[in-house]
Amino acid sequence: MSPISEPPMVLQGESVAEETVGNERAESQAFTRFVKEVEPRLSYALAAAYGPDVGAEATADALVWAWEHRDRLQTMKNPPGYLYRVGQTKARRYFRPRKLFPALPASSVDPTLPVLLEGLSKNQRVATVLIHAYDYTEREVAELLGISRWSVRTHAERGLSRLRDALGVTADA
Amino acid sequence: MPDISAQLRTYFDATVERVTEEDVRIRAVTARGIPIPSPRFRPRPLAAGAIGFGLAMTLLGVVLVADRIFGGEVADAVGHGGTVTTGEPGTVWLFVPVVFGLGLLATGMLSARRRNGDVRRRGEGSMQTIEKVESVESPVDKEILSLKKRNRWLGALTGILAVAVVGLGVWLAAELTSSDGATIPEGVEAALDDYYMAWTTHDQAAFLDATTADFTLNSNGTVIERASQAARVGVQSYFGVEVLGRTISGDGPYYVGSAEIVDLSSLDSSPTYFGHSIMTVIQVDGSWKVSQHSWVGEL
Repeated sequence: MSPISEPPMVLQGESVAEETVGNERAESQAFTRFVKEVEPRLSYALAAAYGPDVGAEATADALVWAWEHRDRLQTMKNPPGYLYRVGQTKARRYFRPRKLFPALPASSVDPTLPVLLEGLSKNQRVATVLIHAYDYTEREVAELLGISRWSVRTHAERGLSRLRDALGVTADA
Repeated sequence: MPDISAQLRTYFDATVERVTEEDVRIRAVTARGIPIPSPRFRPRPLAAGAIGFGLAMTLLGVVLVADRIFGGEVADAVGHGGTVTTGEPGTVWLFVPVVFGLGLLATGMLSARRRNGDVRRRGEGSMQTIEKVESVESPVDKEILSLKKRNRWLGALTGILAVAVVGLGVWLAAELTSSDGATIPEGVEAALDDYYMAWTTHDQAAFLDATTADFTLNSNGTVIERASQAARVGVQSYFGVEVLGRTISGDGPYYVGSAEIVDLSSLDSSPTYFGHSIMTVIQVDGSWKVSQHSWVGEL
């Protein structure tokens, strides 16, 4: 073997390593963007569905699953919706408290609101919270829940209506 | 109070613990604490006992009611003839075990579904994780593990208990609703019919044909030989027998218990007498015949 041929081999190995590091960095940045985009919707949706405590755990587990299966996630048409399903599955692992929604200490929130939230169906809670509290669109919520926009609208309207009736509010200001 | 949208936002902002990318990365490379499964059905000894006992009572009650309602039809179906009433359909008291069992079952299920908040408390540092290399078993961990282990055994025990109870109920139902007459040869029924027909039609030849050579009739302690009784049957034109119900048991010689009303209305001012017959039916030269008949009754 000619000694002249060795330096290019070393250089090639370094370039491969640099390329790998570069790919990992790009992958990491892409995942960071993905988490920033998906996490709020997922957090609030799972919190509305299973309560803040289990919702946080389920969200974290779902995002870990996303990190571990990021290659698979890239090929999906609806990653947030899939992660919501993953979160639902993960939520079953956790012990659910008797009161899904704990009461807040003295605050500007009606003390009966947590109880009223438990009276709504899971989809009603998710749709009402995401649309009316966090201004997500019906399309985004439908994508997350895997149901039609009309169903989302119905759930949100019914949820809001029931909360209004119970709290004695005619319409939001 | 602010509007509902603002209240909802305030509430969820205050209670929802947001997940950062850092949380995800840490959780992805570290152990995630001790997973506590949250089965929908968390058995408890009392609840398991209530469910088991409730199931048993319900099954027993249903079987009793079914037997009381359909028992008469089963007896008729095996061809015993006559009017068979094994009970009083529609008795309200029969439903007590059913109602009691269902109530106990519901209580047990409700009790089992109650959430035990002591097993796992959430909300405090729920995003913290335990590193694999630095995990130290604490007394709380031991407690949780022992609870988990105990619950697992309880779950298995409840499953076994439920299967055993259901199996027992099915067996009981099969025992009570199965017809003993289903395995009795038709010849036995025919021999009994012929025997009673000979009595009611006063047919001496038919009586001899339906009985064995060593036939005896024990009537309230008085033993009567076959020939003597055949002669009586031939002349007792006032005699009538109505079979109220009949039970057949055995698997070779068959033993027949029969509740009967003897009608002597043409002879006596007292028209009917109630009593019981116990007969033995055996096979002689391929045909079934009555070998013994014991009568205990008013006559």
